[in-house]
Amino acid sequence: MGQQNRHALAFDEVVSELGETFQKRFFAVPGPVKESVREIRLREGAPIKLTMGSDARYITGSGGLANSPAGCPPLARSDLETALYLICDRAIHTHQRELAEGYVSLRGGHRAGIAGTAVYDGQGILKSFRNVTSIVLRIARDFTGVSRSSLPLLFPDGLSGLLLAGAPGSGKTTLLRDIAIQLSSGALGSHLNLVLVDERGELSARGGVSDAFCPCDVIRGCKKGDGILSAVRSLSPDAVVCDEIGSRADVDAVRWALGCGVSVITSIHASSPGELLSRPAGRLLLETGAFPRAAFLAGVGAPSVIKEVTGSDVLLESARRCSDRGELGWDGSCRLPSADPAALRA
Amino acid sequence: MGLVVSHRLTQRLCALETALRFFRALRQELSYSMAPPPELLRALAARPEYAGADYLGSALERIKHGEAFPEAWRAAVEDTALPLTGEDRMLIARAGERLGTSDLESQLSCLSHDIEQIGLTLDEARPRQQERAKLARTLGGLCGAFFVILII
Repeated sequence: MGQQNRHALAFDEVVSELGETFQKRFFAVPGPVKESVREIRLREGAPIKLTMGSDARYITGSGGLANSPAGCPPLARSDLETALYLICDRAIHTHQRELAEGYVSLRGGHRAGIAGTAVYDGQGILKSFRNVTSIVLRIARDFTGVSRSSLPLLFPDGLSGLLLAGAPGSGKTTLLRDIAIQLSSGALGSHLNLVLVDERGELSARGGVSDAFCPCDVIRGCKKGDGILSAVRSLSPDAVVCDEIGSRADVDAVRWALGCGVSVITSIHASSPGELLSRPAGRLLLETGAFPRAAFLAGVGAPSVIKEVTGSDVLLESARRCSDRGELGWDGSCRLPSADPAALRA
Repeated sequence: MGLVVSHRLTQRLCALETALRFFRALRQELSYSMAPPPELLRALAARPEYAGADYLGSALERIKHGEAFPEAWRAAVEDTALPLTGEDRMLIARAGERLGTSDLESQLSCLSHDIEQIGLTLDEARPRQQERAKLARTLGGLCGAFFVILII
């Protein structure tokens, strides 16, 4: 199956979660458009918006596409309520924990972000959202093999820990997923035992690929810190892979995994070395010693493309020098030479 | 005939008692597992104590054939062969239909309310059933005696 077909299938997969009435609104979206849509945005009082990178289209009354929202039918509150009910598979309570964090995981690794009025419990803990006014459906895509050419740069000495840093939408999850698949499939010479700690159901699913086979053990719906501890204790992994690490508990779990001889391959929100070092979690992660190197992604414009790979010791040394000078962040003076960018692209 | 009427009244009571036990168990299962409604139904319908509630199996069959839970549940309850009144069916249908439509706390609260309603219906039905059953048996017996006299 071609990649473009899979992307169009991923679009159809997401739309099918919205039920028949919604599906009819998308019937006239052409295949080439489906292949490039990254997000479907449902907003009360606004027409359905399809986002393709920096471009956008709006669904018209006849199911076609328009370049501007003018004249396109807006969504009512009841449309959003129905959509939420259906994407929760008619069981809102089952997705309660996710809703409290503002999202719902969909089949195929896609994700629906929720916006509305926050509901807090008596202890001031965010419980859920009511009066949902926006649902943003992020379409996961399968880019099998996207990490293959980068593996020698990311793991020059065989399996080790790795920190992938990138801005939102830069393809961190896609790259992590493929790294896990490649390493489990023998890309480093042996079939490694990898455990995916997939808190949101995105890491292990491959959007648009109905016969997806995940060659790793998967712990789903579990907080990352708990998942790492559980994996190391009971699944004998060579490495644990998880997405968007950042809390104190996560850092402690990484330190513990390192102590047990298990590598951790993970990602963090940071678009540059300076941003990584200025984040407390970023610095703590580097200081654990679990990540010999950090890879920085190019950004939204070139998803899953690695811009540079830097040794963690270099980053920390530079941070210490900046700190001594009373400056924050990265001074760029000790960057390792990067591989040819053309060789890094899939 | 009096016996038949009396039997149907007793059957209605049994059906309501089974429904009450089912929803109590459902409430517990829901609060523990937070599973989607079809899974909850599957977990409980197989238990022998609910064997008399034919709408449970019927709803599961409909779900297996692709019907959404709320529609499957309502249709199964409306079509049940049990001698439930229109009001009983509405009560049981409503209690099941609401599953999955809100957060856990709201659903448990609604379920508790519906359980209470079924309980009240039962409390009203029991003494009435005893009176009517007695009356039905007595009338049935008198009718029978009358026909015997006629024939003689």
